[in-house]
Amino acid sequence: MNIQLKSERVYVDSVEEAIEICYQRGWTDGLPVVPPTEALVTQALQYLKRDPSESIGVIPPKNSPATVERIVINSIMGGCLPNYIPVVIAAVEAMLEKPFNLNGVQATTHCVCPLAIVSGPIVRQLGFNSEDGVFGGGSRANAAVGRAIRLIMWNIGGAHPGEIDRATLGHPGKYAYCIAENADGNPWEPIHVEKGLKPEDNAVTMFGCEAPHHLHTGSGTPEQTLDNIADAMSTIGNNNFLVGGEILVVMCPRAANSIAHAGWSRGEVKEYIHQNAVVTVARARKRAPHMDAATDAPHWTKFVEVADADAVVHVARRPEDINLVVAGGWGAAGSFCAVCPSWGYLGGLAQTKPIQMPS
Amino acid sequence: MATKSTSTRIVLLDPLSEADLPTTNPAQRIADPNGKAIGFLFNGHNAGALLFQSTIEKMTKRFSFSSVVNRVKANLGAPSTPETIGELASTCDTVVLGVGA
Repeated sequence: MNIQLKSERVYVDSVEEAIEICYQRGWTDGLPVVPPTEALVTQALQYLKRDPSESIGVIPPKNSPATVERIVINSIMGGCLPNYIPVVIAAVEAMLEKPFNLNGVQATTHCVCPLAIVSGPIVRQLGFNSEDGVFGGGSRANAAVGRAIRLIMWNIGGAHPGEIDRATLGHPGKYAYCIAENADGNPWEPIHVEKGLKPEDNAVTMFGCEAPHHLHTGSGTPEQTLDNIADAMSTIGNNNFLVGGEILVVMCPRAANSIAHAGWSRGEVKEYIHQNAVVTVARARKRAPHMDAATDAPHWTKFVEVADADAVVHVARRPEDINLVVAGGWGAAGSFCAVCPSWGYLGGLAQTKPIQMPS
Repeated sequence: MATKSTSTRIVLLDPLSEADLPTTNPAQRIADPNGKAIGFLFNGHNAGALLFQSTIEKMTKRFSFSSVVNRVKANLGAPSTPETIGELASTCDTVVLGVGA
């Protein structure tokens, strides 16, 4: 395959100089990167068998085209092997879907960061970690795909903190944020099946969210576990309470299997959390004492009677607004779960795309 | 200092991409707003609601507009819909946008 590359070539004399020039030219967000040599990029393009000039779409806010060539360059910098790059391409496709509102996600004052959730047989095939430490380090696939996505948003999208990226506090996931679903430990259907794909498909679901809030959900009844999760969601500072939208619940296999063994379906779990993750109007007034004023009314006042102190605001407005993923290790004597609030209805809504591997 | 020949150097590829932006011609500022049609497009952020409302009141009191169109974005974090932009562009001589983040 004769590959014509369009990117500018930069010549250096040593590996040390290559690493430093990536910093000097602003090609990295602070972490060292794998120097994107022409040899590595060409090798990856030969594996993909795609036209390097093909554009997957424009990445906001700079609205620069994410060509296959540029995606490969940034993926190499993140440490991707060639066979990880189709995952990265699917992630970019998902983030460019309109409901994701990547422009807003890149620019907002909120800390929202796209989380990549990989599912399907590819998790095991490529060595993604879906077990112990799933949100942390230790897996090249998780780290490299997560880094590649961030570098694409940095270099092609141009979202830099303090400039167009106005996130007030930021998010550690803005270095890398990628997990995989634990298929063996999941008693229900995979997330990509819930989103409309087939069980045998490989997929990545992109969801804009905060960092995981870790919960010790113990070893009690399903209701006790789910009440723990609902309680953690029911805070007046939770962005989903304020502006609705979707939220992510991650259950370790122990919690999920205990609940499923007691006869609960995935839908029943979501319904229970929806019903019980609530904030009363009385509590809400602590955050928004002027909620009755037309000019200071939070989003949820469109749906709830603010004159009734006992009326409740559902943090997840509908059960289907809860994205449920089984991931992590089995857990110890007690189970652990996590809640990741989001940017609400404003953007970052879960988008799932199939991963197309080269033939 | 002698440099190595190109063939022995490491070749890196630039990961940046430049936007291919179309050239635009901004609309001309109107010299006198009196007798003109004005649009107000509020982004919907409640933190800026009082300021924006006050701006509308002061401007409509100070100037004699031929018509006033008030619109609010459905999603304060996303661009306005093509329909809203089209309506304002076709019915207004000028539009005030704002506010809050």
